[in-house]
Amino acid sequence: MDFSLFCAALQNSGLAQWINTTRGVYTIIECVHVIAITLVFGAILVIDLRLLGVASNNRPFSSVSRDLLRWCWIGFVIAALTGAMLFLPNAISIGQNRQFWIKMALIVVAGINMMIFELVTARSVAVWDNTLPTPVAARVSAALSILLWTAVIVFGRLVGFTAVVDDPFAEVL
Amino acid sequence: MDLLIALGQTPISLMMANSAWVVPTMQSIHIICVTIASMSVLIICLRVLGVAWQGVSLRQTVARFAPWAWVALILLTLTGIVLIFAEPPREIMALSMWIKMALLAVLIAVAVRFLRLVRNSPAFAAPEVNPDGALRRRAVFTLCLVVAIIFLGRFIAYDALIWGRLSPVGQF
Repeated sequence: MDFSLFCAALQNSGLAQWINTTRGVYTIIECVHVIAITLVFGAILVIDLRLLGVASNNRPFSSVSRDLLRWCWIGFVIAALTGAMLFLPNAISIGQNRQFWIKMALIVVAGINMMIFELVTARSVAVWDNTLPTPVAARVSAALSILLWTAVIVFGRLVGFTAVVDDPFAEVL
Repeated sequence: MDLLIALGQTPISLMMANSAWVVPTMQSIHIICVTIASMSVLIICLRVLGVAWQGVSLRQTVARFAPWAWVALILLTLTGIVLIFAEPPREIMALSMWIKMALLAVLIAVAVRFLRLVRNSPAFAAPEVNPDGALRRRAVFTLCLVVAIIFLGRFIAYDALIWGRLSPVGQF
């Protein structure tokens, strides 16, 4: 199936029409999306700053991570769901938006970075849990993570400024 | 309203509004600062509720996160001022903006009172001490305020849609 036809089908779906025509729904979803981003980026930032040895150094890394990762995942699931709901009513224009695809690519790269950290670097966490500095690989991963998630936020905001003419919400962004 | 339109026509406002990068950059910094401030408040509140940051005293938790929240608040104020200058009528006429500012004032007052309490009470220096019911209720109230402020910040762009005839934006 052609991608633009797929986007058109999404935009004409019942859910997209409901989001598009029911007063305040789109705005509420946007607000929940912002709160979810706050949970994801905030939790990641605190964990990464601990890895970098900048803050929370009086706690073991595993404690910091355990306290915050659940909030990060809750936020990520909500952000993905609300993000999909924001995509639907504007699927045709956002589907052609370069900034949106850069944002998606950055999320994938950030996910790969996180996976490598969990599968490789974090396996030896018992060795460096209470010590500073953390291994070089952990610090590189943390710095990369902060940069990538900051870029995700920046490109997410740029999507609103590069909307295609057909976007029904373009004028209020 | 005439004053706001005139403000929007000043060279600095026009420069900001017409620039391709000023508003998106300021909004991005604004969102990142919202994230830092909100997460700092969230962790302190979770520590008060006994849900997170256990094994560290409330005083130490506050010392770790409160400075980040204050610095983020200063940056939020600065970027907020730039955003107001870029679109004075849309921002200043929005009812959401003024409710947001009122709630922010309440949040700051609650935070200052809380910080004083934590600083002056020796009990909060002990890692094993968990705060009482009154302070827990205040933590929940604080989290509700943060969520409401984030909602109202986003409502500014949709003020007339959200508030209808109550919104001054909708009358112009």
